[in-house]
Amino acid sequence: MVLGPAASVYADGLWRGYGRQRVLRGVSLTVPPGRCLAILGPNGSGKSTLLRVLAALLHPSRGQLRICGQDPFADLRARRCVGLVAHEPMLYGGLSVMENLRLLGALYGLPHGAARASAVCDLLGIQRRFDPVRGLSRGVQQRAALARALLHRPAVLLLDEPFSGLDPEAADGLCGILRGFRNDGGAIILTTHSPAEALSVADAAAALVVGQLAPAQALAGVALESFRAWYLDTAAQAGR
Amino acid sequence: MTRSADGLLAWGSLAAMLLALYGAFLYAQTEQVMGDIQRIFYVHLPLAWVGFLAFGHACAAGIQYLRTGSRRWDAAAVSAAEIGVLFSTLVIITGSLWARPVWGAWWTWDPQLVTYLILWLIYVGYLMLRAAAGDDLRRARFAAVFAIIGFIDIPLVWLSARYLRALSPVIFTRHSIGLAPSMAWALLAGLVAWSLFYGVLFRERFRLELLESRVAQLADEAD
Amino acid sequence: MRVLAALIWKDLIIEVRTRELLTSMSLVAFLALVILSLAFEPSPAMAVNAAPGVLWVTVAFTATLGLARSHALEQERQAFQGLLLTPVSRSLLFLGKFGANLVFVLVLQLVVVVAFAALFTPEVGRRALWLVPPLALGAVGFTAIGTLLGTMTATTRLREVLLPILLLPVVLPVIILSMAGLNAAIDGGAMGEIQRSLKLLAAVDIIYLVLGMWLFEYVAEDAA
Repeated sequence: MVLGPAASVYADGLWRGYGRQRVLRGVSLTVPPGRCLAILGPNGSGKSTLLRVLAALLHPSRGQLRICGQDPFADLRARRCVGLVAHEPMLYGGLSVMENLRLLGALYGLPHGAARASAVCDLLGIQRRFDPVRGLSRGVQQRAALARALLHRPAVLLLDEPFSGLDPEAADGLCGILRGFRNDGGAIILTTHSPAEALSVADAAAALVVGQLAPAQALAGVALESFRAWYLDTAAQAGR
Repeated sequence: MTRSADGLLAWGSLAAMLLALYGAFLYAQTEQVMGDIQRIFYVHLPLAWVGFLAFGHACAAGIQYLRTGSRRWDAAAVSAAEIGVLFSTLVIITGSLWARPVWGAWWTWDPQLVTYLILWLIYVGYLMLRAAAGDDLRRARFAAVFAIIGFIDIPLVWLSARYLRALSPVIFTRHSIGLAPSMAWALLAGLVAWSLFYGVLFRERFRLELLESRVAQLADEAD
Repeated sequence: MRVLAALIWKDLIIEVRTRELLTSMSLVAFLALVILSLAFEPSPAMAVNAAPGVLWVTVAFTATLGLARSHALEQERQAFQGLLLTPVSRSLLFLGKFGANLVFVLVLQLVVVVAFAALFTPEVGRRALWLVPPLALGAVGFTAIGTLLGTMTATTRLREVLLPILLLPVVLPVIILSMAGLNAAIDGGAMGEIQRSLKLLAAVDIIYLVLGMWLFEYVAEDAA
């Protein structure tokens, strides 16, 4: 794996929280362009917090973060390189999908905001793009969230349990989009609690247990059973 | 500061307090207009001054917390604020006790009093914000921001209250007291004594806060 | 700036469609005025003198409710975090939210003045134009701190209840100075008097805006 500035995502010793509530304890990871890292962990292990720190939405108490070689906390422009999809869609309910995307396009400083918004809606098959978001079904809202994350052509895509609640057809569609993103040289980090999901889309997997990240394991050619066994083993060891 | 320095501070504070009491009740001459009741002034004014400075302490600690992120500054801020609330409450009570015999009312809309009431309300708001804010990091940040806003606001409250008083002079004024030398000394003794006492209280509260933090950390590591 | 316009437009367009903030704020304000007029039954002369106080009491409490609601909207679907992900400076995000909130508060003030004229005395309409500067400058200061504290309280446990507790003591200078300006305007006071209060009010407004722009980044991050 490539280290340092050439990596799309470089995190070193991230800590978050104090006393009783230390959620992350010295998490380090590196993801080069065109690779996908899956982070596995039980509920409450800090996966969502880790992603939000990587997206620079939360400050780590300690540690360093570099996205495409820049520090997103020191230089706000580095945020152009990151897109985040979380549990909540992060869109305004009173606006339509297109209006939300055009607003964000203006904030990201995109030159042809409306055209790009249309294009990304087409890519994700969002039909009712002119209706207020609050009236859309959960599935469409999640697709709109992905549109929001891809709007500014980020180099890094962060997804928090993206497959949860998706039917097989939608899950396939998502896999396709993620593979396309990866093939274009983008880096992906996604969290999940299912080893099967991780295998279907990731190059490497790491387990996050009690705020600590066990070293990543490459997934090429690994069978589901042995992977599941590895994960359960790692989780059990960290729990002791 | 070590324990021995703290002990020195405590003894010094006791000595200063005894001196201040002597100054207030025996040394200072009796005020002509108000009589002996005026002696409460030697407690009231030092309390007011230290209470205000305590909020300044909380504000400064807040700024340092935002700059460094070190928990010690947040511990200092909450300690300063809690003691500040205590002192401010005493200011309002002593002010009331003084006002009643002198002006026949428990409360007057004097700019100093109005400012102090607002200071008290902001302090209480600060503590409520801390109670409602949730996790440690957010609580520390929000509290720091509010302490900064609150402290910068106090002079603005005072100036605007004075502006209002200048427009309609039918309001009691407090500072018609000329200070004889013995009174000035008593006041000074009071200021020193209460400042030292604040130091003692602050050190204890601060130490308590750090210990609580440490206990939580150890408990967390044991899990 | 395109970004600032987009941010302010966002809140305005949502409000134009749902009209939820303005209708609810206006109704509450109207109810408050009704109760106040029933409680005091002032003669027209008294009413004019009471105007600054009545106006500001109504505006202060109603606007606080409105601000709390305005910031609650940012929390729905974590919409505000979408804005935080962008490279826009946090000061600009503050100004955008402040701008939209200011429009709401100014409209509220208009409603309150009109309702006051109807319920208490139309006398106040005579000096209506002179009322605008003190009210508007008062709205600026009130909204500046209101936006900063509103963002903070929207994510705390007490939510709407905490905002008045924190906001009202802090914006007292603005309310006092605005009322002084209103008094001077209603009394047909000397220009010098009105100007003095307005200058002081503008100074306080600037201090509050600077505070808001400086401190917003420390509040915004955790407000998610």
